[in-house]
Amino acid sequence: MDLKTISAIDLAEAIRSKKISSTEAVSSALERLKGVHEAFNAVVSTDAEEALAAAKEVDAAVAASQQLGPLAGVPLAHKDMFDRAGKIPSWGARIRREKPCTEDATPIARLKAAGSIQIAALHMTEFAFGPTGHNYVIGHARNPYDPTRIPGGSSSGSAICVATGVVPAALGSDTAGSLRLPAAACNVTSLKGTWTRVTRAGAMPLSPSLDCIGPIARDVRDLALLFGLIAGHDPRDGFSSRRPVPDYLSLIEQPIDGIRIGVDERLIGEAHPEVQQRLETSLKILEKAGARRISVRFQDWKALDTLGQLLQLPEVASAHGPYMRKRAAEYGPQVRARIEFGHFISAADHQTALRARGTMLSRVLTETFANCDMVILPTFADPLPTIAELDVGGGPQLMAALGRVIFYTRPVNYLGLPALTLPYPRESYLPNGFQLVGRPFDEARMLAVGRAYQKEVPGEVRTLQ
Amino acid sequence: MLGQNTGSIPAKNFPEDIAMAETGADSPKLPKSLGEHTVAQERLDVILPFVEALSETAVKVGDTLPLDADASDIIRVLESEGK
Repeated sequence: MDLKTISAIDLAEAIRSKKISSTEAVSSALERLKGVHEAFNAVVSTDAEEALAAAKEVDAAVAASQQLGPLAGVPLAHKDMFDRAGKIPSWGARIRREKPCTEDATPIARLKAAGSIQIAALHMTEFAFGPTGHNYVIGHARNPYDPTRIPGGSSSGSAICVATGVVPAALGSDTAGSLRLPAAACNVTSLKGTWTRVTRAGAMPLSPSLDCIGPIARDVRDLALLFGLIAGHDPRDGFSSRRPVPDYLSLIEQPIDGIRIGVDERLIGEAHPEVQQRLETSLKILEKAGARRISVRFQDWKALDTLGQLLQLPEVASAHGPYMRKRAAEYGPQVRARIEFGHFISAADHQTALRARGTMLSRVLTETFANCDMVILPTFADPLPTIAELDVGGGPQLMAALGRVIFYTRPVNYLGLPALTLPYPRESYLPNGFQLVGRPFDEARMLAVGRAYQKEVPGEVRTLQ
Repeated sequence: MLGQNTGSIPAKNFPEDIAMAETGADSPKLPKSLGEHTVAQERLDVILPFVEALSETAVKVGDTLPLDADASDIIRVLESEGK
């Protein structure tokens, strides 16, 4: 059994059937974590003692033939933005809570209830406010396929640890692309659900109108399992949807014959030629798996992006107001500079962006999605940049540089739509990926398409040299 | 706890940014929400045109919205899917 490549589902089964103990699985993951952190700066803190103690408990429960959760004994690690009882999350920042948390964030509690064991808290962009993996406080993270290049952000550590086989899956968050970009950059998959599908209770807020919590994994089946576990109404998050949560895993093998994938050639045409070519390759794979290509058009993509900024920037500025007013020098230059912008956006413009959201989504559903089930878009507009190329601090080129990175992702958050990221076939290229943007609450069908795609383009683990 | 920054690329110093964050005595009037934090003129020269461009879109979009368009519309549209 190769613990680097095994899925969470298969590892849980192996633990249940006593082919391996949870203690062995957790110990092995902790060992891999060290090397990966040294190479790519993926970790903020480890939970070795607690994780090994939890693993022993699972092994005892297995020995006693007790009822076990679907992730019992499986080591996971998550972005360091979630409350955990008795701990202070770093938020990737110098500024932190003054007191330890009193309870777990709901997504963390739900994964724990399913039996998973958290072994570490992972690297993230400072306050999750940046799409590249740069962090001027705790150091920049590196891409495991080329350490001179960005790993994507802000859920950088989650994608790195999944890509390198430390853990099969990890949680992150996505306000403007922060699950999708690192997943694409590190050659793994992620699912940003419909806004409101997954509770944010106990997760560090960035821009509540846009924030989504979701999983990163190598195997789409693991995405389905984790997403199903963390989705669902939570009284601690008043925005969380009361819709029943489908059994995503049981629906993942549904046929995708005839599924209509929308292609906006004009919008895709704004990407680098290499990205366009690779997206076309993936589209042909989806067609071979039974999907149909339909021409579609987003009418207002750039307006959607602007409206997303008009939501995000003031919401971040407001959340960080108390810190910026007194402790601005403790921020890294990039985050401080971006927060400043939010203070200059008028309340009227922010309200317009909020009030327009339903109208804009309605228009996209009736026009762009009129004849298709989901839309394919690049995740990154360009081949992966180097860390140095985007090391722009808080300088004047900051907004344009980051705006290009999230060109295809931020409007999806504004619309509240779900998006599944899948890697392009790698061939001789560095990793990169595309996203399937679906109709509201259509995650089950998107995961089925992802599963069909992975039968042709299986997940891969980056082994340390 | 693993050592922070192990294996990382040392973050660059941006002295001009820090200076901008800490000075700004000659700054024009700033939003009260910034409190003691000041923003230098060089920074404002970047921020204000950017924000103005965003605002132009807000105005254009706002002119198309009915009076009763509401922030909760997004929830209604999302939840109406499939019903």
